[in-house]
Amino acid sequence: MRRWWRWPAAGLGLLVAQTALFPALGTSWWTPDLFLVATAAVAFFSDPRRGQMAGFGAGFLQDLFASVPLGFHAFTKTLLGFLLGFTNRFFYRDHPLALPLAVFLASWAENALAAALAAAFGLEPQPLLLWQRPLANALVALAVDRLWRRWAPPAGGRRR
Amino acid sequence: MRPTVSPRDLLLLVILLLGAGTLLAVSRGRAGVQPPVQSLGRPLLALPRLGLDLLAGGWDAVAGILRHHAERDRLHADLDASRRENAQLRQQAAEADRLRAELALTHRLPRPGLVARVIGAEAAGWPGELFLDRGADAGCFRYQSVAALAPDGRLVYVGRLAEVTGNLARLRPVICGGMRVPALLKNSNRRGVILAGEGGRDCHLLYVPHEIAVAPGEEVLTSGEVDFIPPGLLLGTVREALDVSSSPFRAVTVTPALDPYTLDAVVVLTAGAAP
Repeated sequence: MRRWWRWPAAGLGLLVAQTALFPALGTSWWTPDLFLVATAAVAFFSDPRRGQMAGFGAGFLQDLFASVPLGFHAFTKTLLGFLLGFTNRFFYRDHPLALPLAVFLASWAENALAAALAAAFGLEPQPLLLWQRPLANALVALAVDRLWRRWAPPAGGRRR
Repeated sequence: MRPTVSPRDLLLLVILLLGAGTLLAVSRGRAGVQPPVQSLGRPLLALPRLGLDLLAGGWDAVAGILRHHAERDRLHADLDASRRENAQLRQQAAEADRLRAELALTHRLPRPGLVARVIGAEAAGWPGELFLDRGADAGCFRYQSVAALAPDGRLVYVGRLAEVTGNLARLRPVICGGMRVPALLKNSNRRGVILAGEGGRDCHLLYVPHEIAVAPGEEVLTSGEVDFIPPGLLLGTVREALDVSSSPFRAVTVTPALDPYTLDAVVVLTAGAAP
């Protein structure tokens, strides 16, 4: 049976967590970007095609509820999903710290991409978050890695 | 292993990036679709937010209760400490008052003496002995006379020290059975009479001949005819004097001037006394 509802449900869960849970806990630079972690996890454990599609979907959903122009996060996360899906072979993916490391690097990359995109389109400059948010994203990725290995469906025809 | 990308994946990437870039270029500086979408999604997000708010509120309440419990415990501890400190201060104040009263009493004494506090009474029968907080360490010794200051400033003979230890002495009041004190009738200046304790509230005056006029209310003093009992101390007043035909002496009852069991402080008389 195709469980088509998984991705919308995952997106909805991410949306609720990102827009309802974290603001309730208090917004700060330590607030993780769950859309980025989800994109990175999909790309890391599958391939560039799924990675960029997940990135586009997550970024677009994030754009709908964010205060940036539509397509901003969709652009950055699509590119990130593709890059991470393309380079995931360079990581020893069985190691539990591989995904957190990839997410940490992806956070930096997204930060740089967002700054470049904001400059290119004349948008409000994005804050440079060198440690707090990448570290928070990596910590969330550590938990996601455990959950993914236990419950996620086999990706790319490979059962992990 | 060299990473490879299929042309289809590259094509998809280009399409998606172009789509996102177009969206970005179009929606830049415009309200776009975000406000309607956000207003549509607001009710959807309201429920989890409400749940979270309730959870946070409940947690805040629990945390508040725990915080109040901790605060209450801390206040209780502070209150207990304050009570203990207050009790200590009261005790010290009472001790200071006692010492001040003893000092004042010492200054008011018409003759030298050592002020002692009555700290207890013998629990075996009545009348019993009293315990004083002075003993051999303060220079007290057995048979020493003990007096008390009457409201009018006169010294009243109360009894004698029956036993003395290091920091404690037992006072035997004059009303105890077996107590004998050489006395003097003040009006007639009659000596040779003995005040005898009989174990009751009053004493008897022994050896008062019939020819001596004794009237109720007459004062009885110590005669000072034995060691350690100074003369002139008030013993009591005559309550009644009866003539008994079968006896060569009158039956005289004397009411002691002070009830020894109501005293807080007494004076151990020291002048001229030596063991």
